[in-house]
Amino acid sequence: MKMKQATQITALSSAIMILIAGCSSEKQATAKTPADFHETGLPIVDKPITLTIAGNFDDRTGAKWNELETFKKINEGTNVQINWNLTPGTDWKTKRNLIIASDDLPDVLLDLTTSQVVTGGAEGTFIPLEDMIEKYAPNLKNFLTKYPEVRQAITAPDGHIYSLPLANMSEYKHADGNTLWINKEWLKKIGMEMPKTTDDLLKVLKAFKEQDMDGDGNPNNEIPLTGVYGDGQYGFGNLFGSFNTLDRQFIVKDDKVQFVRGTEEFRNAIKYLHSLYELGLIDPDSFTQNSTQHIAKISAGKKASVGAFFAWSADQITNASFRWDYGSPMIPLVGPTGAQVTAYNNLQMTPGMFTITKVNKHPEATMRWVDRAYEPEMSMMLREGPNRLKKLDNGRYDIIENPPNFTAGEWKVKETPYNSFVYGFSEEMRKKQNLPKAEPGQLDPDFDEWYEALKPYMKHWIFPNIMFTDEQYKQIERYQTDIKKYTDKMEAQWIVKGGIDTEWDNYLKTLDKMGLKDFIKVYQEGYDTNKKNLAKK
Amino acid sequence: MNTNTERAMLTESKPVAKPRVVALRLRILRSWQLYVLVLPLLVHVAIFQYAPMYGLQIAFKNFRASAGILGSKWVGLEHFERFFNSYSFWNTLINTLLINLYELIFAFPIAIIFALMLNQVTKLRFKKWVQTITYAPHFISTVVLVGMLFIFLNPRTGMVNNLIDFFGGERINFFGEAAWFKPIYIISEIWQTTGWSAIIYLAALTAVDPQLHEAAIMDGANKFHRVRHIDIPSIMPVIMILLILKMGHFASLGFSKVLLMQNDLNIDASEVIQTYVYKTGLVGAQYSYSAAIGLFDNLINFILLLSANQLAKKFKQQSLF
Repeated sequence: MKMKQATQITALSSAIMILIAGCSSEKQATAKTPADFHETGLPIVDKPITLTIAGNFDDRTGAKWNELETFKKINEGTNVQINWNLTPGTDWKTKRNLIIASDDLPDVLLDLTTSQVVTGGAEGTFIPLEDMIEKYAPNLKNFLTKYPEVRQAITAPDGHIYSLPLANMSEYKHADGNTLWINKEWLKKIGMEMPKTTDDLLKVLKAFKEQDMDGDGNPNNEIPLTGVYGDGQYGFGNLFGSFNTLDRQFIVKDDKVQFVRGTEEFRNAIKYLHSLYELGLIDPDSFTQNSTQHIAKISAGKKASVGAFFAWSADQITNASFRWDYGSPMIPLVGPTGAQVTAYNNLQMTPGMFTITKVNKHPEATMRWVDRAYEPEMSMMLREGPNRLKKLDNGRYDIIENPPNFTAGEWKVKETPYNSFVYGFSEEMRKKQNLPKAEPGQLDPDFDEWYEALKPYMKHWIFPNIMFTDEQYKQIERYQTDIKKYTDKMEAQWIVKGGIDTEWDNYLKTLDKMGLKDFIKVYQEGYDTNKKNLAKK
Repeated sequence: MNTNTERAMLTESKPVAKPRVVALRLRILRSWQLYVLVLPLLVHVAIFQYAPMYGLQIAFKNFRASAGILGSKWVGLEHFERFFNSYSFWNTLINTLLINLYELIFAFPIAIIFALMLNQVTKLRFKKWVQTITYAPHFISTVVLVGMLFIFLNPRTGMVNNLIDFFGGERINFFGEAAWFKPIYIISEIWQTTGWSAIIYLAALTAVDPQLHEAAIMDGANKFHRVRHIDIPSIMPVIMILLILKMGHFASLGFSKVLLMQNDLNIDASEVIQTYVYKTGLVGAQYSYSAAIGLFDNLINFILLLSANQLAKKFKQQSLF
């Protein structure tokens, strides 16, 4: 009996001891900085430390990030080593949810949604960073001072900053990447001009379908227009601009939040797409293929077999032998009522790119380490690839073109974590680059000329990058899955089978039953709060 | 402890101790080797089947990772109510049950018929050859299989559509029509699983006493009679057990295959409970809600399993318990 009691007491006291130890070590982490930590200069810490960072990687870069030139430079002399725990990009959406739900956290979590950041911040999973940014991150601090809108975008509704951003503030990124590309050689063959209106486009596609464009004697094996339904880059959204709307879930017109798939403009756009599909001008695979299959189809063969498609830039994804065959009407096609609109996009930003979790024992060192990525030149390398940049004596940079054994895309991401890690790229640094001059007819959205040409048609309708409150996110999650599923389905069916006019009223009623009004209300409230906050500053 | 001394001690105190308990302990000690063999399995079941059930409670809570399973707020049946009232409920439930019903009606008997037929083949070489060919598809991974389906059924370039076109028919966008989803799913399932499922029936058929067949032949029974009155009754217990086991996961099916074959055009026919759980839970991060849906799914399975078992008992067939 006595033995038993004794063991119980020891067990109890050791449990208490562990509790106390746990508390005190936590205090040490937030309040007192470790002795061997240096607030400035190198190394960051005297004794080498290892941080575990979980994130995702691009297939073209691979998962061996410690061997990338950019990270070698960031780590150099810091005594900070990184243990990367990386997941393929396609699996990351589910993997990050699992990591958070299991509470088995790494020191740093990369690439989260704003909803995860806000919820995790409120629950104490991620630690607030604003004080540490002030003290230990001079580069980031400069960047945020220069771009207050970035600071606004990463500040949670409770006033704390829980995550550091990837931000590309170069102006040209306002242009929408979902561009229509049309085969110029085929246009020449049928003696037609680059289409200017939606009617022109229909006529061109019809000619593509009816005639033997690739000259193999079979007039039936050409694909007039293909795409990836529902995809932001390869989808059909570009054509929505001709109907005075944008292919987004929510847009804002005159401070009023609109659910696009419940508007007349949307209805007209879908009717037009159906008229194309009915004539057999849209590839039926568009609704079943993914972007990889789409790219494979576009670039297959020695000769182009596709008349038109949507992408960011045609030459990067098509076969080298016909990569310059495609041109773009660039400015939006004029719709039946004269509408001609494209999006003034939010600049490229991932507000939840870098979070420090509660288990991190060296938050200060982590902050100093990551700040090295925000150093302007390093940010440029992370964005553009160190292998592509040659520094000149006058402080400017030449761009080195891709060698023949790399595609332009592969060359760009070769030594970088490609948009899966933080950087703060400013317009100022962009201006320091000697960009290759575009040859006429070979413009793509990577050029400033492109942005300038689109500027007059750009509407500021895009919903801003904001952080909702924890409660609002819970509501969004609640409506999102069902409403998205239902509208995705209906839109696809209407394009393929038609019938939007007869089913429209029923559709709106069903959406109402699913709680669309409340769903819109959450977005309107978020928008209003954000606007008020911006006005205050 | 030495078993012999133990036994000696036990026999001495026999009148006092509770005899049943002692007997059990004795039996365990006597054949401890068998219990050691069973132990890993018991541990496995306890750890991987029973322990996770602890987490089921999040179906009745608002799960928050930082609060943990115990610390999250109790909300009762809220998530279940939400699911039953949701737009997706009837659609997903009906799809789940229908796909399984079709599988049961079409795929399940075909394997039995196939085994009975194969059993009649007397040329051993031919029999082996057929068997290998039919069960080979079993080893194709789901992803590859669905990829093959996409290629064969492609509306422009697919083999099947080229054939339809050749005979003057209209090309069909198989994956773009909700009505085609279930037939494609079931037919490909039959193609992939028939050979494999037939193995167990074939094994049962080899156990049929040849004397029965010889006697039947003497009495003038033809092949068809023998299949009907000897082969089928002999493998009936196996069929029943497999049927009951199948009912046990009636409402859960090849999730990855359904998900891979799904797109916005056929979603009306292809959304099943499991894909919906995946979308709300893993992608949408609504853990409690998806746990509730998953629990509901298991409840259906359990009820179906029990009813199938009862039915088997009633017809005096083999039953599980």
